[in-house]
Parts: sequence; structure tokens; C-alpha cells
Amino acid sequence: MDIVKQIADGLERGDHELVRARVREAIECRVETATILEQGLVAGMNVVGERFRNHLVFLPEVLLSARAMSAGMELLRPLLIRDAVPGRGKVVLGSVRGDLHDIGKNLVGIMLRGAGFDVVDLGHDVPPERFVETAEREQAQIIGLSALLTTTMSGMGEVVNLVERRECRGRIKIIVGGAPVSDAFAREIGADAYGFDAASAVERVQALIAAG
Amino acid sequence: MSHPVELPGAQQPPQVAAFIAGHGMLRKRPVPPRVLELIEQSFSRYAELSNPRGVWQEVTRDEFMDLYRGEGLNEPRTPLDRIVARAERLALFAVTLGQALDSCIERLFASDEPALAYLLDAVASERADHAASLLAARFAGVSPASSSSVLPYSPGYCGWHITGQRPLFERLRPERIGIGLNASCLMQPLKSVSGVLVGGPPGIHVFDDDFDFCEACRTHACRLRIDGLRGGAPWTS
Repeated sequence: MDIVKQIADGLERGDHELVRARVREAIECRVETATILEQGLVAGMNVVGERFRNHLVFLPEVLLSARAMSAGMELLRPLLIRDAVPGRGKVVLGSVRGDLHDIGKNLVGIMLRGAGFDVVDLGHDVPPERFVETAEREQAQIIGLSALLTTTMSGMGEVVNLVERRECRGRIKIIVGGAPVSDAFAREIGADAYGFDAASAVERVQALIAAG
Repeated sequence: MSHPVELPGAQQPPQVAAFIAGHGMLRKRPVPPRVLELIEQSFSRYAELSNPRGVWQEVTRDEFMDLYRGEGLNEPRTPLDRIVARAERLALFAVTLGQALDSCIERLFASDEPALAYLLDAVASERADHAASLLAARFAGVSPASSSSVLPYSPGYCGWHITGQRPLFERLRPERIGIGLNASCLMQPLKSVSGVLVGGPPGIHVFDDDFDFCEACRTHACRLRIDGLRGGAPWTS
């Protein structure tokens, strides 16, 4: 089996040690960086994502694969920068002001990284200004907002309004998610998309970026 | 009079099979050994780090209804209106599993152990609810009324607005067992549960999930609670 296929295979099995070793080997054998990324890491993660959507693997297995992805990316990142391999997109992520819940947001971040996106995770209890300033500075295409409380979800609208006031609505799109959030709420506050769960959030981000 | 209590029973992790079934992991195929191994690891961490404690304080129906009306943000029609009207006993309550679990989950995510972090979070959430059930059992055991069942209800669910936490905390003072409330009415540690324990004949807890807010509910967990009453839940005296 060729080394790139072994990387994809290791990804599917969630074996981070194997993935790290094979990525290192591929780099030493001068396999193209973009090939390792696209045909190895991302291809393997795509298979896992598809299996998860079809309920063929459990979430902890997806997270093991995401950890393997992260192990591979750690070695690959400096080379991607060196070779100017274009990224899939950048997402600024966080739980809105007043909300200390992290789990859903963390899962979305892990799945996005697994799908090859750059993620800037601002953590929890993030004020609106920090979301927008970070997105502008990092030239991110997406801001992802998470809330688990009805008392904090109104903070999502504040971020949408701030993006509008700063006239960067065309460049930055906003996706929202969390237990009390719904598609209707997303539309009401003017967000661009709603992610029901981590897997659907990744699909929506992909669609938003593809739509430009 | 309030009753702070230790809840050592909640420090035990759940049965593996029950945990797996509760997380829908058996629907399509058996759980792979590497996931089972992670579940065992999360259970060990849980048993090592959790420090379950609770507090309750009995209140009259009028006292509770004053508190329940809170800031006037509840849904116009809620199940608790009817349930409380027929209750025999009421007590405000709070339980927590302690800060160490929250910190560990955060550390695991930060150190690139997301699967273990996720499972530890899941077991802790399940055990926090279990701790509330154990406190309900304790409350039911104190001069129980005949054929009485006790169920916990919490702000943020079933039409009881989350801001209901404020008057509840003012009255109960769960800071004594290490639970704080932030400006968004979020409890810290996160693995904490608060609300009201409602005791009375099992039938008072039965309601149809046809309220306006039920449409937005993802779990309809109230159905399981009501079914549990029919099966003779442990907190039924």
C-alpha cells in the first residue's frame, strides 16, 4: 500500500501514532505536501465524516480520527506555509458572551480542523468585538457562534449587527449553533447559516465558503 | 431549614451497558473495543474527580410560586403550574459534582484528547442528573407522604425561564456547596443541577408534551421521566 493511502487508512482507524509516523515518512520521501494533505489526511477524514453521517461510526471514533488528523497536520503545517498551499478557509469560533459552555463549540472546532479548515478558537465568554476584530485580523471567512442558554443566545445577534456596522458582511459570514438555537432564530438575527450539530456545521461552512 | 448532604452514590460511574445504550451507540453495530476502552478510562477519571454534593430546602406552595414567577419571563402556560398546584411537598434543591471535573474536561480538550474529553463530559452530565435523582430519593425518604413520588424540575426547561435561577439561588444559597451563578444564570461548576423537587402522587407528574415550547425541544426527556414513574422509580416511596 502506498504511503499516502496508509495515511488515509490510519486516519480512518483513528490511529494518531501511525498517521504521525507515515506523514513524517512521506515528508522524508519528498511526497508533495498538497498530496499528503488532500489524498492522505483529508481523504481519510472525508471517509470518516461520511460514515458518521450514515451512523456507521460513533462520535468518539470521529474524535479519534480528528486527533490523528491533528497529529499529521502538526508536521505538515510548516510545509503548507512554505509551499503556499492554499487552505480550505479560516473560521473564528467561540461561545458568545456570558456562556461558559465549551463542548459543542469544541466538537465543531475539531470537526472543522478535521475537514481541513484553519480554526481560531477564542474559547468561551467571548465579547462581540473580539469575534469581529479577530476575524478581520485573521482574514477569516466565517465566524462560528455557539450558545447553550436562552439568556446568552441574544449575543449572537450583537455579533451579526457589529459585522454589519463594520461593513464587512460581504467578506465575513456567520454560522450559529447550540441547544436553544434554531434555523428560524438564525434567520431572525440575520445569520448566514445554522448548524444543527457539529457534522452539519462543517457542511454549512463548506457551503458558505463555496458560495463565496 | 436547608439540608446540605454528601451524595457518595453519585460518585459511582454508571453501568457501561446502560451508558452505551443511553448514548444511542448500539443502534447500528457493536461498540468497537477502542471506544469501550475510552469509556472505561472516562469512568475511572469520573470516579477519581467527582465530588457530588447537594442541598435542599423545603418551601410552601405559595413561597415556590412567588419564586417561580421570578422576572415574569416564563412561558404563559407551563406544566409546573398544574403539577405544583397538586403537589404535597416542595423543596428547592441544587447538586454539583465539583469543579475538578470541569477543569479536567477542559484540560483534555486543550491537550488534544477530544474523544476522552467528550466521554468524560457525557458521563458527568449523566451523573449530575443522577445526583439530582439521589437527592430526590433522599427528600422522599424524609417523612414521606403515602404513595408519594418526587421528581426534580429545573429552570431552563419546560417553560421555566432560566432567569428563575436568580430567586432560587437567593433563597437556597447553593454557594455553600460550591455552586456559583454568573450574570447569564449559568451555574459553575457546569456539572450542577438546580430546581425544585416536587413530591406527590405519581399522577401529578404526568402531562402531554403539547406545549408551544415542546416543538423546539430536542429530547422530550420528560417522556422518559414519566415512563420511569410508571415503572416505579427509585425515588418513589
